[in-house]
Amino acid sequence: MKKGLFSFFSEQKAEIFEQTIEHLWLTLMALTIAIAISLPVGIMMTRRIKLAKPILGIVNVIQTIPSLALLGFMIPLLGIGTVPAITALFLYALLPIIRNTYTGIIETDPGIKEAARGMGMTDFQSLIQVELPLALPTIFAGIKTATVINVGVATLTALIGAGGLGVFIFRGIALNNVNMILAGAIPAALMALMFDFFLGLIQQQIKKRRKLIVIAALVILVLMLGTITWNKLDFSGNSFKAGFPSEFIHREDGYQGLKKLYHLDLDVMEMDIGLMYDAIHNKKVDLVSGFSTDGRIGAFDLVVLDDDKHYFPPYHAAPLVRKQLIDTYPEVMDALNKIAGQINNPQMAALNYMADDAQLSPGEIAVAFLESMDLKTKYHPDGNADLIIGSKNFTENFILAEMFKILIENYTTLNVDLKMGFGGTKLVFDALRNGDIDIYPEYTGTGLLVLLPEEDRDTIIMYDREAVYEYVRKEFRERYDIHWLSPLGFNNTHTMVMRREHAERLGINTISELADYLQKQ
Amino acid sequence: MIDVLNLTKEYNGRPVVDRISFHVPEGKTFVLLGTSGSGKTTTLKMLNGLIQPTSGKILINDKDISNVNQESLRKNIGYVIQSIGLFPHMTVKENISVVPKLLKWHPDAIKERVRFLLKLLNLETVDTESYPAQLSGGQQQRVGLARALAADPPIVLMDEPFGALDPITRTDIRNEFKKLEEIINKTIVLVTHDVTEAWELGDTICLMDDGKIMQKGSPKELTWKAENAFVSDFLRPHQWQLEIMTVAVKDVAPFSDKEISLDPDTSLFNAIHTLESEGKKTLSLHLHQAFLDYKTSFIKREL
Repeated sequence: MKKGLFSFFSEQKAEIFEQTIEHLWLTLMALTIAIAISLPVGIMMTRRIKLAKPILGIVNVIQTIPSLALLGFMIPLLGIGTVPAITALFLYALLPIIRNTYTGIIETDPGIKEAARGMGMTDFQSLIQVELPLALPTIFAGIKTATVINVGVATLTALIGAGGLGVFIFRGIALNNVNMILAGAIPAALMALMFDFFLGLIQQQIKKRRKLIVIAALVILVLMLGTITWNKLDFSGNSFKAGFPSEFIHREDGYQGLKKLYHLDLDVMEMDIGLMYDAIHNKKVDLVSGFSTDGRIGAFDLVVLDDDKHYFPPYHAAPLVRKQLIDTYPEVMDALNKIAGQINNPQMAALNYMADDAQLSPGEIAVAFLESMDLKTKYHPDGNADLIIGSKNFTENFILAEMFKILIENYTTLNVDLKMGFGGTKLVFDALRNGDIDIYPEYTGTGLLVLLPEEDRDTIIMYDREAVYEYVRKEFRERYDIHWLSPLGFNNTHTMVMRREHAERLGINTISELADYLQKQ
Repeated sequence: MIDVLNLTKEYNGRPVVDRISFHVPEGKTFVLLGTSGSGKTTTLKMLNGLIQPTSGKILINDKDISNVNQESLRKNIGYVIQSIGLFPHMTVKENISVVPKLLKWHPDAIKERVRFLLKLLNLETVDTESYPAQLSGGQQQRVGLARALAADPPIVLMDEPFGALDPITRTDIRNEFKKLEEIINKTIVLVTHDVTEAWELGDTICLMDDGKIMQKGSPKELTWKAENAFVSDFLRPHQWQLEIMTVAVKDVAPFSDKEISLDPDTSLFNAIHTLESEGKKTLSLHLHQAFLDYKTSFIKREL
């Protein structure tokens, strides 16, 4: 950690504040809608007891859906951004409020309910004057639970481009930057604690000054929501939006350098790498950072903008292996070299497309490809693993890791385990250095720009495409005792991607033309 | 005032109240007495429509209550329950004001009425802004009574109204209750399982068992003329006490050779109680003797 937490916070305070407000807004908006719907539903259930069980059953089921899965379900229905995020949060807030409204009212002392009816109150009068006021502390406890849950789940909505404090957390995980993770986690935790404390306070007080507190709480809620919503309304009319994953936004070889070189001024929305293509396809954004071997570029009729200033360095994929492993099992190298230089860009794009569109598993795709190369794929040893292959968390890396496994198992006597889906480059690389894994597929550009220390980088060579591989090979061996095996052939570099129809309409073919177009606006 | 005709309530085909009929005259106290499960509370709750009868009729002032709006029926019938059922989130004042507010009384009238009832029920020392939880059991019971009387209903239904109290408080409140003018003119239907309470408060007692009326009549009639074995078995443990409760000093005076300087209308039970507490043992024994003579002659006359 080069910088202290405190200085990181003070540098980033504007964005931390902005994301905190966004987080608050998402939480409160979802909560308001949840209260507006749950209260009547909960009350109605006490009057139609037969409906109570099925309704509670449904909201219970919703509650058990893992939050990431629920966010995933939202995308095909509502796309990305705040609407699906608020919808998901709203669904999570339903159970505690509905359940507590229902039980709070149902469990009113029967003697008191009898007294209310015996006094001649109508059902409605009994509800308003007796049952609801008595259930209020329970209802409030439900609202408190829902709020705290929402503050927590709202950190995940960053994954579908809704912003919030999760932005820092996921960016931090991707960049292995603890300060950045804390910049999201600490305000989120504080927010949850504060809600818990203040709502707890209200819950205690509510036994007495019911009307006053309920009205005050409603007024505060509406005021907060109103203020934030008003500030969020974008009157600028700048409609050209870009969607980048957090790692790309902050990486040296990502948006930061691109912005400087091309004088690009983009309205950037942070989003999960898996969602970008859906987002651009559904016109939620107009530009995404793609990868040249991505199968969806062709599938969604997208177009790659020409990197006319040669900004993006080469990203040749190659197996990254611990030296110890090669010393112990030199035969691994021969096995993996069977596909060295054998996969070109269109081939890799086609393989990726099979996973993204044809819904084949990475293992099936690896087998299909190796068979087309007349390589052995059938042997599956069992028993304890001799080595472990890791991968990052995206399709291409999965497929390559599967290929490595099949090759080693068929051309050596070794057993292989897979440990897939590390959440970021640093994480998987550290696992390799620590010996948790022995091999994973890496890209030369990433090796140069992410894994070597900033001050030692020879960034001049990054535009000399062939020299990069030789450079990282030498540096990694000396520095980390880690070997780059022969590249597989394809160059999966970053690209800027637009919808074909959109790019043609605006007459944009290169990144420079895009920068010009945006400046004119 | 209240006429009940062939009233029946069945749950799953089993009658819990079985074709009962009775009449409660205006201004009188009618006691439904019985063990739990005898149907007495179900009967009471049918009177204000909290439970709908399976068959039979209830007439109040000759009007069938099934044709009347249930809420307005209940607003005009006071209701006191065993669990008291004060609204815990309302102050003493708000609790008492519930029915007048439902009846849309003028706020000044409500205020005046609350003050009057608090005074009547010896609750002047209670802070009207306090909540039920801050009151003693006896005070809560009085507030519950005040709430039932708040709109000055002609009829008051009471379900074990003193059931939640300890025996001493219970006797005290019962004695106060009997003397309340506000109560004396009202038509009251009271449910209890306490024989002494029934004898003290009831003008008419209706002893129920298994949904049926075993006997109804004045305390005196039930004490001295049990109509069946159930009634005499039920009353046997209390027989002695009930007898001296239903006999007045003037009744036994002819059997005494001494002048008795007590209110001739007071019950023997109260008279003996007073004498004992004043330490006048001899006089008390003398009254006992006179009562035995009275009873002997009574039984001879019956035979």
